[in-house]
Formats: sequence, C-alpha cells, structure tokens
Amino acid sequence: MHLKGLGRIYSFTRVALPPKSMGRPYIAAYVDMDEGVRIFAQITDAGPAQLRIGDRVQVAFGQALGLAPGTVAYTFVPTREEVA
Amino acid sequence: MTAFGKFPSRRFEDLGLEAVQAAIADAGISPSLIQAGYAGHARTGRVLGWESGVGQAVLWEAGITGIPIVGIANFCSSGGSAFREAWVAVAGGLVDCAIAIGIEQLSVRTDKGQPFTSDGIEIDGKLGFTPPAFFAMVAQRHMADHGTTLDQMADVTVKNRRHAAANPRAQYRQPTTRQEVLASATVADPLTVMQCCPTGDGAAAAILVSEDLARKLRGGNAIAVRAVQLVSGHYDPSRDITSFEATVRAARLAYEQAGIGPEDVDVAEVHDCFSIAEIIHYEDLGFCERGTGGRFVSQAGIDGKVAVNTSGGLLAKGHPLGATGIAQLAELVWQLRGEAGERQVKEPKVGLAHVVGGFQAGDAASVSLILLST
Repeated sequence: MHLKGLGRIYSFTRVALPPKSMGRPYIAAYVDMDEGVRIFAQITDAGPAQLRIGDRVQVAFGQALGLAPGTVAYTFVPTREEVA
Repeated sequence: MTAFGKFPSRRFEDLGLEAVQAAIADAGISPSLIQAGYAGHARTGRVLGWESGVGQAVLWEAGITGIPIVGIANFCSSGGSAFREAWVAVAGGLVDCAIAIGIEQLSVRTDKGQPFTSDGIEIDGKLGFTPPAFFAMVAQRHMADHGTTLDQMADVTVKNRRHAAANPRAQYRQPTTRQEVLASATVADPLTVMQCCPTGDGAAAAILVSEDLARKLRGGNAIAVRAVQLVSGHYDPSRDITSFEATVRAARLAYEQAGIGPEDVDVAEVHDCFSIAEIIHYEDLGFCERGTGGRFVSQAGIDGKVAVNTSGGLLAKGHPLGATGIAQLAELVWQLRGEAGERQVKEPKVGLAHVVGGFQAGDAASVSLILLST
C-alpha cells in the first residue's frame, strides 16, 4: 500500500514519565492514515496543548526519541492540509 | 495464594511452594492425588533466567514428581491459561485431579527504569509504545467519545484501595482519596501513577477435580467451574480502542457456556492494569451499557450491582503477571464460600475472572475468562 503521509490523530498522550531509553517526555499517538491504516508514532513540533483528537497530521522523517543517533524515523507533525 | 508484594530475598520456588501447599491443604487432598500440573509464568525467562522448568522446580519441592508438568507463557493471561489447561485435562476426562499454578517474581529484575513492555511490539516499543501510553490513549478517547471524567477514573483506584485495605494479601493496603490519586505524578496524561498497577512478586495455585472426586472432598461443597474461555485478538486497523472485542467475545462465549448472563454475576475480578481499563471492562463484560463505564464505578463496590475487584485488583492487590489469573480465582472462591472477611459480598452465587494479556498489532494478544459458581 502506498501512503501519502497524511492522516488524523486517533488518540494521543503526553508520556510524562518516560522510559529511560526515551530520555525525556514525548507525545505518543495513534494516527489514522487517509488510506485506512493506523500507525503508532511520536508527534513532534507541537505541544499537547496545541493538539486535539481528530487533528490533521503529516509524516516527517528525522530524529525520534528512543532510537540511536543518526537513525531516521517517522514522526508526525501538525498540518492544515486536507484530503487531496 | 501468597501475599503479593516485593520479596526479592525469597526464592521463587518458595513462593510457589507456599501457594501449592496452601491449595493442597485447602482442598484436603494428598499431593499424590494430583495427576497433572500446569504453571503459568510470563516473564521468568527474562527476569529469573527460567524459561522452562518453573512448574517442576515448584512442584518437586512439594513432593509432586513424575506426573506431566508444563509451563504456560501467555502474557498476563499465563495464570488463566494454566488454569484452562488443567480444566481441559479434568473436564476432558484425562485425569481426576490437576493443579494450576501462577507465579512471578518481578522485584529482582535488573533492567529497572525500562518499561516492562510486551513481546510482539518491537518497533512501536522503540518509538515509545508502553502499556501506560496505550491505556492513556484509551482514556483520552473514552473521555472524548463518552464524557468519562478524571474523577471517575480516580475513583477506580479509590475503590480498589478501599477493598485492599481489608485484604491482608494485598500489596497496597493504605486507603486513598480522589484528590491524592489525581495529585500523584502523571505517567502518561491523564493517567497518574496511582492509576497504574504496580509490579511485584507472588504465587497462587488452584486444584481442579472431577465431579465424582469433588463429592468426596471438603464435605462435597467444592466451587463449580461453570465456564472457561481463552481467546486472542485480531488485526483491525480501525479498531475502537475503548473496547476490547476479545473481551466481548470471551464473555459471550463464557456466558453461553454457563447458560447465564452478565446480570447473574455477583462478584468479578477484572484486569484493572490501569484505572481506565476497569471502566472499559465493565462495558465489555456487559455490566453496563457501552460508554457508561465511568458512571458504573460507583456501582462496583462491595455493596454494588456487581462487586468488582474485591481483592483490590491489580491496582492495589498487585500484579505479578502470571500469578494474577489464579489469584483472581482464589478471591472468587473465598467470596463464594463466604470466607472473605471484612470485604465479603453478601451471599454471592456467581463469580467472574477476567485477564487481558499482551499486545499484538494494537489488540489484546490473549484474554482469559472464567466463571465459577457455588
């Protein structure tokens, strides 16, 4: 399945007491992709107060907490882009 | 069963032996009567270096040797799954008497600070998927969809701590308040640390016998096993995470098997790994309508419509993974016999035990459901 990278927040939480491997608090989310699959990922570039269930998000590739430095991972960032 | 708590200086064999000897004494049988043994343990491989042989190590100390002994690893449902194997052997007519053990010792783990995540979620786990994060997302969604409140979730902990105060085997026996629960440190918003079950150590054992043998033991007043169900979840990318379909299915199968309905359940031990979990279980088990679990908390006390987690549940009695499913049955048996002391429910007839174990593709890996009656 080809994913265009756009989806909607199904649910999210700020993990305030993170596992050691994560190092600091982060936002964990289930994102429902427009193509119908659900992905677990971190949401970056936004604080919990700026997010709501149902918000549009877009995939981003870069550093994620919990992975070795230099590892490229997928995260999601807020977007205004609606279904094309 | 043993007390639940942190006992790092005890050998796991001693914990198991204590539970086995208590069960044998309670049943009033000779150990030589036991023809098969099943031991449920989820994390003994990782924590103790014992992937296999836990059942042998425990039962041999009790002088029970030579018979078939099998270890069962099935997430938090390991104890319930061991019980099911014992039930299959007895109900299937293979043996007249079998023992099911649940045992875990988590206090000696050396990787503290890391989440005790489930197998089967490796990539998500690296990205920060933890059981509290998952159930926090369940809570966020339940609040958004059904108006469940922070107070209702905190009240689950308050209720179960109140029950545990009357249970000498519970890990956390201090009563608490809604304010104290909400003011404790946030683990994953909105779940505070007092809404997350502790890890710990403990063991429990149950002896199953055929109907013929039951008539000859304990003056013929044995508790009856009415239904035993074990199911797994499935992959559903649009799953509503505020309900475990596997629990709904296991409950329906169990009620059909027993020929009863949720309205007949008087006392229930359910998998309250987090406060919100108990709320969704009320709904999935049919104790209340979908979406109304938050309001049902006030009806789940000792004198409530269904007395839920009279032992204190996972939140207060504790949760030594593999031991939990059998420990639930111990509580139900005491309740059904009228031996539960200060936490006794008034003349219960039917008890329900429920465990949700593990994650697989975002769904429950394993759900066990057992119904007992007087």
